[in-house]
Amino acid sequence: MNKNYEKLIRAAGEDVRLTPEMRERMRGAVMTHVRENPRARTGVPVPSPYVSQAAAIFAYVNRPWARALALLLIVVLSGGTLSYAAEGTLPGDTLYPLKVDVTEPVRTYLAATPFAKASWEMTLAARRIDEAATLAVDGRFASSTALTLTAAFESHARSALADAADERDPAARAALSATFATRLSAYDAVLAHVDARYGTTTDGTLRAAIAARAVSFADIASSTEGEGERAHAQADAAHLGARASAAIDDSANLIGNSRGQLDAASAASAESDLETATNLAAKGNELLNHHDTEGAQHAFQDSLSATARLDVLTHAAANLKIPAFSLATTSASTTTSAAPETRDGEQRARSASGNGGRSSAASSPEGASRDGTGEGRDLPNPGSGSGLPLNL
Amino acid sequence: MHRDPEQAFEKAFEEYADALFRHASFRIASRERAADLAQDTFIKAWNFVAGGGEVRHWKSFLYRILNNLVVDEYRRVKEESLDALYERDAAAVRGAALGSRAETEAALDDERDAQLIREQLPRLPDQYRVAVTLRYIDGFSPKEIAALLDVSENVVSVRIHRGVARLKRFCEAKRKNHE
Repeated sequence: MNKNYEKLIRAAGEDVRLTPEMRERMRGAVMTHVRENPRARTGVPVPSPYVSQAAAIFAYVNRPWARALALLLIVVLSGGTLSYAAEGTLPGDTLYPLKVDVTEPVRTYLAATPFAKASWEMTLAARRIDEAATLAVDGRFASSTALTLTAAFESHARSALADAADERDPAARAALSATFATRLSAYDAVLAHVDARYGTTTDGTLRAAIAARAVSFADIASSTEGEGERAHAQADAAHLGARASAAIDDSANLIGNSRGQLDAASAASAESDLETATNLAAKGNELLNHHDTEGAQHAFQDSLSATARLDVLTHAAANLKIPAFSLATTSASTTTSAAPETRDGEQRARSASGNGGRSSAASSPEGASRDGTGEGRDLPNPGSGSGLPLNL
Repeated sequence: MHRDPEQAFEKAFEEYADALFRHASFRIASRERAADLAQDTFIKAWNFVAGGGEVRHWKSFLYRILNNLVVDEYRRVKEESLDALYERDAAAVRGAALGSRAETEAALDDERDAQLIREQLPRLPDQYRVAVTLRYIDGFSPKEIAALLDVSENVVSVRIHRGVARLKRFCEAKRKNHE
């Protein structure tokens, strides 16, 4: 069926062309321009037609930043080979101290805005969880490691909370917080499975800390609703939509790169969840075009939440070799599972997904966690065996 | 053999003028604007060559310029409602088709399907629309599309797959409405 459609689409384009008159008119205009603007013999540089004027001005204005950043990057990357090798290390590995004491703090320093700082701290908090799960699967999880990782997780989560509170854009703050709450809930489900399958090795204190922080971030998300000046609401929603779109692309990349490591069921679930996130973002764009900024923001937040959950489960399924998508069915049942077609459907979906509501993870660490919405974009880390995708 | 840049440019015009117009017609609302954007694409391309730039692959070079112009056009008309845009887009593509040469019944069926696709393709979100148009109407490979749009091949494959699936749903719903 798909092949027929491909043929039909090709055929649909065949009759769309310039009339002879339009073609001659265009040819005349273009060739006149060519004659009036002959090719320079001295090779005077002309701005590339790829680069818009705005981008050119922006690049010029920001040259000092670019120079400073380049210097910092050179300093960081001069130890680049080692830093790269350290990215996938776990507690107990030789290069692990390089990762947590050098590379990660440098990237923390480079995060320029509250949003970037919060996103990066959330990534680091999630990395500690991922390290715990990987160690448990490898049979290397010791109680001393549990204390270290739990303390590190708490430290990064506290920093992320503080940085998120500094973010001025309420929609971004809500999205960031709610998405992280979603990620934490998904991680809780992963750790519960690892504990059950490999013995209680990830330590209840880490899971309790995760559950508590999921509640904290969900509270930030719900308390932020309704804030913000109406004058900026449209721009904020558009910005959120752009983030949702980028998150969908990143998730598509992650699924594509993980395809060889996913079983058929996980791959199918990942594709389905990606479709859900895409439909939610499309709904958001439609609402934005109809000037329903609040509805659009909720749809974009739901999309971001869906991709955040998808990334955690894809990563767990691919790297830990666990049936992550079937694990999280309890939380999935309270998450938007299909694009709502109506405003009422959206409101029901938002209630079900926990937007504006408390995460139940705190009261039930074993599962039934509820999704919030939020942000926190990561890119796949090509060198990581256990490390999470990096957040820029 | 070294080709004179003006000759190479003229050859590119003859080869790609229709293709660029076709692509623009599937992306924006007005047939006249589609022709304007195709013309502007060649003007910008010549400005680059006139300034001493060298073009190695005319097709991807021209499409990249056109894609940027289409994005600028979207920003320019973003205040219009979605429904109005859809109606204008669909009408523009219908109007841009120069007419069928179908004579047999099977060919007429195919022509009706093609017309349905021309009407429904503009309804796709632009990310899907551009991927499907570049793939099946302009003939780019997923790898070439990825380079043109500065995204990964994975992303392009997903957008093509989802775009075709959604287009099918639109067409089938429209077909049912007419029955």
